[in-house]
Amino acid sequence: MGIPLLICDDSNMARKQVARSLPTDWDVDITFATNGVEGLQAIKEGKGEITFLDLTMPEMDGYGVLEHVFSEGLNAMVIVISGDIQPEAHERVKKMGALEFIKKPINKEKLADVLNAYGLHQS
Amino acid sequence: MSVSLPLNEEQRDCLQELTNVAMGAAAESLAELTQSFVELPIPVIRCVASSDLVSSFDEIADNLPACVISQNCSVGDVFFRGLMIVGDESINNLANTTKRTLSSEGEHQQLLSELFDTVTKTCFEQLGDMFEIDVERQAAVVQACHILPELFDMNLIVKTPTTIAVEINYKTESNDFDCHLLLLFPDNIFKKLADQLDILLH
Repeated sequence: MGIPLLICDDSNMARKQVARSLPTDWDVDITFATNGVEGLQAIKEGKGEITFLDLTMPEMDGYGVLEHVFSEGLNAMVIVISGDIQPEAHERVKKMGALEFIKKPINKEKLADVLNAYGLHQS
Repeated sequence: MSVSLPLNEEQRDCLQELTNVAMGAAAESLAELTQSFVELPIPVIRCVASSDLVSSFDEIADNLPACVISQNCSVGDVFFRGLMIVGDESINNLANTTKRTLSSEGEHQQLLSELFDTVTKTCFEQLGDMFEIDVERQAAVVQACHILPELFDMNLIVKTPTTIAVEINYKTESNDFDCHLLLLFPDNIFKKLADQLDILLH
């Protein structure tokens, strides 16, 4: 069984872009969530050991998810993937415990660099 | 009156994601100008009768005096109009933040143009990058200043019966500034817009 990996984004196109950017030889078990509420539920169910999280979403945004993850001590390494590229947004999510921030639109190279940097996958 | 959106769900999602990324990039430029964190909501996409855009303006600016500035643009053969509505109060607050004086109408319009250019330059460059086509931009035109939005003549902007409007409301966190950026796609290019989105999707 692969590593539980969650892709949480309200955009179907963005979710597919992230999924297509994952290394093809990475053994992961992918779950998709379309808003923060669904994403948080998936994390609580153990489906988001590695979580790719958008910030701007309906129901609950990415900041809300991060608050719950870290206040409740949930098992999730969160990598934020967002179009909100303000340096302060970057700083805020890092302070809230996110591992890294990746600017949208994502691609294989950007994602591979982050996965390499944190030892999550060596390509 | 809201009109059925002439895009399928996949195309709508694609347009929303593209504008989300482009408008997000523009938020960074706006944050630099306003020296404040900019709250970034999800862009709203709707199709409306063009005559109803004015009633939207009332809601947008709380029907307080506002300025309207716009620019004709195209990405490939998809023509659209970028339009910003910003309340007089927000322009005054921006002038205070950036230590500018607004002692004449010319200075007021200059700051308005600078604001519009700051936001749209980044937004449209990012949009062009994603479409892999440069966005062509004509000169921006100040359409009206210090006008109650309900009195704005929409015929100056849109000449087709219906319009797809993509709208975002930027609000700063610390200095009481907000403005609305709209991308308006007239109904005579709906098919071309849908085709362009399909190219990106497939």
